[in-house]
Amino acid sequence: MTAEPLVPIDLAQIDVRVAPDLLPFAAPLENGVTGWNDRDVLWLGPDEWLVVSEPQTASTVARELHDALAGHHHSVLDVSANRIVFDLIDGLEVLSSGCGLDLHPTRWRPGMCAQTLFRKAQVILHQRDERTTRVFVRPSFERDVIDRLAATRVS
Amino acid sequence: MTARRLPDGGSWIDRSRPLTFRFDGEEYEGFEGDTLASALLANDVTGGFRSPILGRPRGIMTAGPEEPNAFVEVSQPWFDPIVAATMVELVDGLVAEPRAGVGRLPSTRVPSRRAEHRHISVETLVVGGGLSGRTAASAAASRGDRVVLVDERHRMNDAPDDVIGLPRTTALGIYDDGYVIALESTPELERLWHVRADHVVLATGATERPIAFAGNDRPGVMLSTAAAVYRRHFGVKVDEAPALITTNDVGLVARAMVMDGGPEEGPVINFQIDPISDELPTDGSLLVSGGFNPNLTLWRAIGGTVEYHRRFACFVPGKGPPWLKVAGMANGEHIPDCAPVWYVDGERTTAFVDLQRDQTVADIADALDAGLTSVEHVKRATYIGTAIDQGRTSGVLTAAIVNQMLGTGPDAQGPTSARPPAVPVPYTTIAGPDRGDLLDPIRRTRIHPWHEEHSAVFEDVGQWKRPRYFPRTGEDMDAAVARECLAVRSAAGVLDASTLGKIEVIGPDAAAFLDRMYTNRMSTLAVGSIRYGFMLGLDGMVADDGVAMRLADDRFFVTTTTGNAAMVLDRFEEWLQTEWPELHVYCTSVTEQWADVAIAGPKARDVLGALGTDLDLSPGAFPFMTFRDGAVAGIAARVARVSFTGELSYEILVDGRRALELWEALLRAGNAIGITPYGTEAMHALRAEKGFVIVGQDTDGTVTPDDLGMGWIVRKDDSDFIGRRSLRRADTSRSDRKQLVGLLSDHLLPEGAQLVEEDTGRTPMATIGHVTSSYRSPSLDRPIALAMVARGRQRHGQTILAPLPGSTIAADVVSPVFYDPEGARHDG
Repeated sequence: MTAEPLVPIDLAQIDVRVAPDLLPFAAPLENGVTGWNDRDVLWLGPDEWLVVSEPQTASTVARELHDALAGHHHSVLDVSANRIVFDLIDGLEVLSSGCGLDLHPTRWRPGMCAQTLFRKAQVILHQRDERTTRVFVRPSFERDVIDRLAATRVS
Repeated sequence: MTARRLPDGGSWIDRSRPLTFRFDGEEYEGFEGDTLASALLANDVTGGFRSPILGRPRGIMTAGPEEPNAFVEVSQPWFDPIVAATMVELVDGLVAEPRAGVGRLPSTRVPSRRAEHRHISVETLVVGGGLSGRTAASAAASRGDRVVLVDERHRMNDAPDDVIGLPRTTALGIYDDGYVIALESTPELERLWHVRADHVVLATGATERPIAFAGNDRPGVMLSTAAAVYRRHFGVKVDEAPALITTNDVGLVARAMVMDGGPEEGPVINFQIDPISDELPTDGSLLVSGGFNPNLTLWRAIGGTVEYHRRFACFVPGKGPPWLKVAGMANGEHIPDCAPVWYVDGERTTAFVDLQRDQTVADIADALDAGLTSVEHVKRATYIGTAIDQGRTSGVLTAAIVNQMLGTGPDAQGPTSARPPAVPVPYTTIAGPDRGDLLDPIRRTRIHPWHEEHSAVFEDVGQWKRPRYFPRTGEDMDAAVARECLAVRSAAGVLDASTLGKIEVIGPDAAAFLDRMYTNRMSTLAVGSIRYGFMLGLDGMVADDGVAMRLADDRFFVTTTTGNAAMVLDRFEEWLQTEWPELHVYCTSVTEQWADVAIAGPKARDVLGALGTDLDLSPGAFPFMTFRDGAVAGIAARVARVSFTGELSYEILVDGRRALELWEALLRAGNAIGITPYGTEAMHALRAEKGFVIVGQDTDGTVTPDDLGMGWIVRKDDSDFIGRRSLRRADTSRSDRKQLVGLLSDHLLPEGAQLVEEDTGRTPMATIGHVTSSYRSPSLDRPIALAMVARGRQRHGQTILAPLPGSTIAADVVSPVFYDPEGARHDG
């Protein structure tokens, strides 16, 4: 893992829940991420996705989704403040000290995501490319997770 | 017996790297690659150990993890309270001393190794780095598997290509679907591996078994293959001409190896030829081979069965889970034919079966004489197999002796199974890096940095750190809390309430769903209004409370207590997914999307006005128990008129990223009227003055809404909600249940104090209840308390007693609402 300090990335995050066939984009596969007009769509569950886009676009994205899903039972919520986001470079081994998922590069590939635990903190991991793991963590756990990553890194 | 290092030989040691170590106060030399046990034998230290219970002298009996005698405490360069000398890798400067079976934790800090955890997923895990294990690992790797090979010894032949080889690593436990926890223990670190494997191969080998005969525990008695290991791998000869007692040919081969093919001297008793012998040597070196037990601890721990093998006189694997295979000697391969000799008749009281528990053939016979017939019962009567060595040398022996004494045949009962962990694991290793501030996650709100800067004293609420009070210079807690409370009652205070759980409940059936989750009706709530609700367990007891805001016909925003946020969402999801999948409802946690700042006090409206808002704050336009969406200090906000203090109060919810900005703006706007940040202690005192309960403090899982005097919150129509049926149980509607009351006393009552009608001066006294909350009320300027008291509502006006060590406090039972009983103040 590189030793640069972890800097939170400002992003819009929209939580979408609806029957998958109603989505206005091709639903990502299980634990997968797809693109939708330059936005990332992360699979969070069989009927839940997280749309991640440029900062300040939350209301635009939410409106688009509401319009597309009008008349159907759905939930679209701006959760941009619900999680802090940072990118870990070469961090998979460090994450493996506290995460039970198979993060081996042959199995955990770019374009995959997962809701999991790092030690006792709930996190969403999104592998952006070979080296970059995007980590979504509840703001209240931010310092704990960063301190824990640092403690693992120095040892 | 005189052991010594030979001038050459020893495949595991490096003679170019001598090491110095101390044992029992004496300094010795060994080589890199030695274990403490091999280095001790090389220095002719063959004894020095004692048995834990009888204090009998003992020596090193084995060369591996099955060692029952030679336990030590390591104090340098790391600390280990108790470990077998056969498993301690020698390092320069090692300091150790014998420990008789029981470790000791020093009260001072001790040197510890780095401790960490590591998760790894593989297709194949092989336990045991011998020939079978390496063969299995190699085969798995060549078909493309990711393979981990663990071996508990500190020396292991090189792992095959593409195999992650982990020497010094003991598989501690094996669990469903190939989850194995293993401890890697090196001089530098202790690493707990969490291995998830599709397939697990146990190539755990076989352990030589002793024979129970009189005096078989004396120093000098050693398993025959252990002597061979010391000769071959460490270049240590345990004796020039050791005696041998054996049931099989491997014992003969091992003795020949020890003697380097030298002259055949010393007595040999071979039970294959001479089934009965009484010529057992009573001193000198004596090698023992009672046969070989496949190591099946892990196999049995996951439910694998064993079968008795008559020719090998041991138990071999039967059926097990499909993902688990056993290979090599552990699978009964290459086990020598063996005469089924378990004990030699003679003096039974010194014929030891479990050397670490000091239990003998006589003790087993006693247990059977007492009428026990099951090996499980014999184990519990004698404690055989329950020591640190987990019965590695005594388990099969005990089962066989029981079978023989009962005349049931050797296959009637097998050995008992051992529980994980296979070897003692220090708590420091289990904790790994989770120490100090990392022991458990510390959750902090977005406003936490301000609290820290302003000298808040924090308290733990679940994993959260919440400001308890904000002391000014020279103030103690009582003074700070009194100041904060009075500021709320006379002007305004601000509280960081961001930790409250928040859930959005959305869908056409949202109202119907919440009706089932809460005791009161949420479906009749008007859009823009708020209702306080109770959630019960299936047992009818109060589980959580919170408010529901109706955002739209099909959309609610509900809050939970700080500590129950996750539990409530889990409960919602559980009922939706398992019981009512037909309901169209989505629940989403937004706890941290929204920060929540409460402003409370008669001047709250003025402060909010001064802060700047587009909301009409007049009581007519914005009444109690409603909410409005608007802008506050230029920040999009949801403002709710609820009150946990009894005062005019607004909870301002904003995007979490703007929480600090809002908080600081509020303080600036309220500066003129003396706005005061208050913490959880003032919040608790203020709500207690109003008789508002805290779920989890005034309730303990045995309290119904009616017990709290809140029967009104439970609807009486026929519609169902969780816990409804239990409220109709006879016991739940008993008239003598404990009920919430207020207590007034001259002295502060301790929370938890038991309450009685009459102080008899003798314990036990019949309790009628207990104090649940107690404060020095700043508003009333006297101690107040809330209590749960049997038939409490009928006791208003009575005086009851709290007998305490050294004094008894009298308390008058009153209504739990101490302050503003008319509820006049929440409109300001």
